[in-house]
Amino acid sequence: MLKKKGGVVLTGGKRKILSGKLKAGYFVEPTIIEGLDYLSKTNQEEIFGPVVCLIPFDSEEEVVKMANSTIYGLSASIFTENVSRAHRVAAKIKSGVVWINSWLIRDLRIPFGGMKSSGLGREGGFDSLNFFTESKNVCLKIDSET
Amino acid sequence: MKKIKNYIDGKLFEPKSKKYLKNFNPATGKVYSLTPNSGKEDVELAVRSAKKAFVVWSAKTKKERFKILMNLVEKIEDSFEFLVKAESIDTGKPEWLARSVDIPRCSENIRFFATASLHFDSKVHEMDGEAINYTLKEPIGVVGAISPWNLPLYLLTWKIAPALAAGNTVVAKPSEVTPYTAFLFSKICKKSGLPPGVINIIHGLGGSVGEEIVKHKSVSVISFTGGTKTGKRIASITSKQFKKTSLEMGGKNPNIVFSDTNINKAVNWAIKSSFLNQGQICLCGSRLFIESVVYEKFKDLFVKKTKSLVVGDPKEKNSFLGAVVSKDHMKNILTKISYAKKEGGGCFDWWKKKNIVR
Repeated sequence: MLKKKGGVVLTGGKRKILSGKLKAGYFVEPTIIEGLDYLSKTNQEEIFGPVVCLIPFDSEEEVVKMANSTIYGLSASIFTENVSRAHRVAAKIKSGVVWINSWLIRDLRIPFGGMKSSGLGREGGFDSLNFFTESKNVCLKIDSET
Repeated sequence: MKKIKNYIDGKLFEPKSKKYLKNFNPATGKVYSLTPNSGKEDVELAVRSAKKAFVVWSAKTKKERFKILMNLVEKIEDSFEFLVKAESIDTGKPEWLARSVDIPRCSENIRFFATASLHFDSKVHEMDGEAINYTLKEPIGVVGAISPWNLPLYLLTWKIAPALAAGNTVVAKPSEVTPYTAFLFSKICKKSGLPPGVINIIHGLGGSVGEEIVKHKSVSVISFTGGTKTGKRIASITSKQFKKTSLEMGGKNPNIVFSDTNINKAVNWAIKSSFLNQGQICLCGSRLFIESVVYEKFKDLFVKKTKSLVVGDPKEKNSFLGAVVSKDHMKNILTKISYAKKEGGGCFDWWKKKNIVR
């Protein structure tokens, strides 16, 4: 088996040059890449642009291992019609937020934040108000004698 | 050229140094305003003002603070379209996105935390008649809020709103890449009835303004959203000072598609989670795991739909993607794509797994 190195860009991968006033604008085509190891630099480091990598998997166990392999743990999405599988996988993913059959649904009351190198602490709802206040306990002794 | 100003003690000021940074419109690549390149002196003034204002603001009743914050909400909503257009110009994101996500959330953040403060309660621990413990939830002091360029006003208000609702005052540093709506916000604050110094906004670089805020002894809390590298730097300073710190940082989020799902729906979600806001949301799913038996089917549909997405003028309704935030960021993304085309290695042979001989 001959193994070549490198990811394959299925679409995009380039700057997009528009015309007229926008010809010097910073436009990047939406990009899909396949063929890279889940431990490759591209699949481990944040790009923060319109770039996504495709990775095949065969079992729940395997995909959980691959999903949890980065230093990050902010969010995850799971798509399945099997309700037990959805909860089972959600419980095993190391991230502060897990969406099932969706993405970016935000309720401002929920604890929001990341695990591992994605964050420290949670904000949102009363978590935010707890963070932005100090708790002070006051203890009052009740005298037992009348 | 329009000059952005710092907001200190209820007034707009030039930076002490009179130095400015260029602010670009990413869709045209042209400079359209100048943002203060502030320094230690500007931060010092802001912190002093916030410290003074804390005495006034923390002494107000919850209801008084609530009323002022709700007035701020009203003023933001009065400027809704203006802010939408400004956010789109400053970030390169499509106007429809700023109109449906960024700007509605900015007034919603303030409304949400203003009302939440009225419902916030604390615990009592009773000791079988011997004693009673009760917990007070007290405002802390001056909060340093450092926010990123991807959702500028949305994330700035996400920090400012709960800090103020809880009775603290704020010194904020918006990203120097996208300072414009924070500047407009400071003008709105001026008209809202907020006492001077309750919100201060200092524009400039992380290494100077951010660093000065983080290490300032009179700043008691730091809330940061941005890159993990900067977060690490912040934690290294605040941990030595035992300063309350909240960090929201990067992600490499997995998006897992099992074969029993509705592939069409999963592809539509993947389009959004991969490319919304040009992929510049910390929550974007950048690793798409697909169960092997549906891999090809998913891939074909996903590629087909992605090819049909319009990358274009942020003002146009049908542009799904606008411009990325800066020239440097664009270069970064393109460098990482070129690297992806040649990199290999690791312990998992992707092609073997797919039974493909290359």
